[in-house]
Amino acid sequence: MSIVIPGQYITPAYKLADSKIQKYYPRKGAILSHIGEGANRIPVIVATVVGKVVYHEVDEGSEVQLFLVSVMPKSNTYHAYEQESKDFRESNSISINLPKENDVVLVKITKINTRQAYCEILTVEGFGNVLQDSGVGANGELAHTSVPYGGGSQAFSSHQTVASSQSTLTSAVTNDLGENFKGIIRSQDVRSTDRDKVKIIESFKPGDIVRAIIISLGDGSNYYLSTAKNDLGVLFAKSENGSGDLMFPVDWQTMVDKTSGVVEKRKCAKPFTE
Amino acid sequence: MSERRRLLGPANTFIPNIGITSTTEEAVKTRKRDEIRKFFLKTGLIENANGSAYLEADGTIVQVLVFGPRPIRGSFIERASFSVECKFLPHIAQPNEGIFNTGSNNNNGNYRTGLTNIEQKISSYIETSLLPSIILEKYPKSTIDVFITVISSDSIEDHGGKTTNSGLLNLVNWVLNCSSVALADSGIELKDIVSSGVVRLDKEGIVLDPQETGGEGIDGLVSFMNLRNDEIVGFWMEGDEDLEEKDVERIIDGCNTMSKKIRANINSYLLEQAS
Repeated sequence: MSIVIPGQYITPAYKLADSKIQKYYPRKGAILSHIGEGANRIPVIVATVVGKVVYHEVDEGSEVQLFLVSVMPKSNTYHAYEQESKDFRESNSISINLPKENDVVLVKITKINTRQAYCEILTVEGFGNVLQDSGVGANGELAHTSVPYGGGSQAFSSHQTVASSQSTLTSAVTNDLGENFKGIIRSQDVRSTDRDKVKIIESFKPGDIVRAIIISLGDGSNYYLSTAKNDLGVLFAKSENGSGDLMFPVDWQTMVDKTSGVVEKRKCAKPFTE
Repeated sequence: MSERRRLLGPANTFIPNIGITSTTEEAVKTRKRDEIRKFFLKTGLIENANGSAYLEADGTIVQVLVFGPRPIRGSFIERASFSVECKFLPHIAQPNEGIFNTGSNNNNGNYRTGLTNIEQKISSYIETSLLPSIILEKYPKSTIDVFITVISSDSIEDHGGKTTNSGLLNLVNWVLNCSSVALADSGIELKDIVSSGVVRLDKEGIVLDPQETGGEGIDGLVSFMNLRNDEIVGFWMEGDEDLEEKDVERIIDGCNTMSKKIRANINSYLLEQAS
């Protein structure tokens, strides 16, 4: 296993070994880049993060041997990393686990209204937490350098005052510290049958932990999520709006509190298939 | 009557003499013209940043923090937005302070509300240089923010009333190299690590990593992606002398030599850290 750093050449994209053609594709933590000038310009797989090089051979049964090349960060703790690095179809993968379409995520419901439920994305399944809270407020580590215009405990950076903003869109405003990526589950995305009869209040309550799939990156503020599958929906919920005890699913739309016996409606997940 | 609205210190306090230049003799420059000063580099000192780096080169001390990718609000953006903010600690004399009229940015002399001109210049140079190396497309709906703190800077004195720019360019050189390492430490995907070199072209030729300020000459700072066909990503020249094309070439070549040496050091440091 070799360690590489960003910019380091891993292997040329095409190689001849034992009179067989080997073709390499970049995956997580690697890109295809053209190195050299003029006639000597060749495609090379280049690392983009610090980590270990992982090769995976794709058995296509053809004469050309295909390899997927990815770089696994040393700090990596994701279970699905290896799986994903083998996935031939997954081409847009990134080494930091930002949620993307078709990712299964765990979310916490933050507020609901009649049309949709708002939530905060906690983890991407198999990949660990979405984002460590890396916020440093003006009261924190860097308080001595300068105080933001309004003073106090706002984020150290606000893009209005950042000097260099050639790539920064004015619409890009950072969230408050500790805020996470957010999502919306619209009422028509709660379940796949009787979609027009869904009542959000009978599906989710604030505080519920819900397993959902990302169907769209949405707008700047929210991802769009869906629970329209048997294995998606509420995993953990407390009765009486959180003041009660943990509830257990009875069927796909009912949960019961085993201490008080209260029955409440939820769109339950059936995470384990038999 | 004593002020009751503010928290004042005890009556018998005295103000320490921060910022007064010591009278000790400056170390005589013993490096050769093509020699680069040694520097100390460490990553990961700040735990709650996604990436951080700390660099010391003689009296220049720089700390860089990288936050991101972190969520935004507002409308959808396909690529991450990238911003750089460079700040000097308040007691540090900034290069060319007199020329750039730093004082005007003070709010009634109480505290600074924004960046000074020189901080702005440094920030935008760093951003321009690092931008081509970051694969922004991989981070939609996010921002990547780089915060640079100049903790100490030694090459910024006026020499006999004549200010030169080699102190400034020297500082920016170390700031840039430190920022690149912080980005690499953060795990954000990079096409290559950006490194830079600074040279001075005087009558005798090229001086790598110039330490003396003052005197005639042209200073150049060039940033490269050395493992990516030596692509130039940043270029800054200061000086008021006539310049020919071959001089520019010599400056670029000199910077490239220095940049490669620094890059080699960064490489071996990162590899050592990772293994």
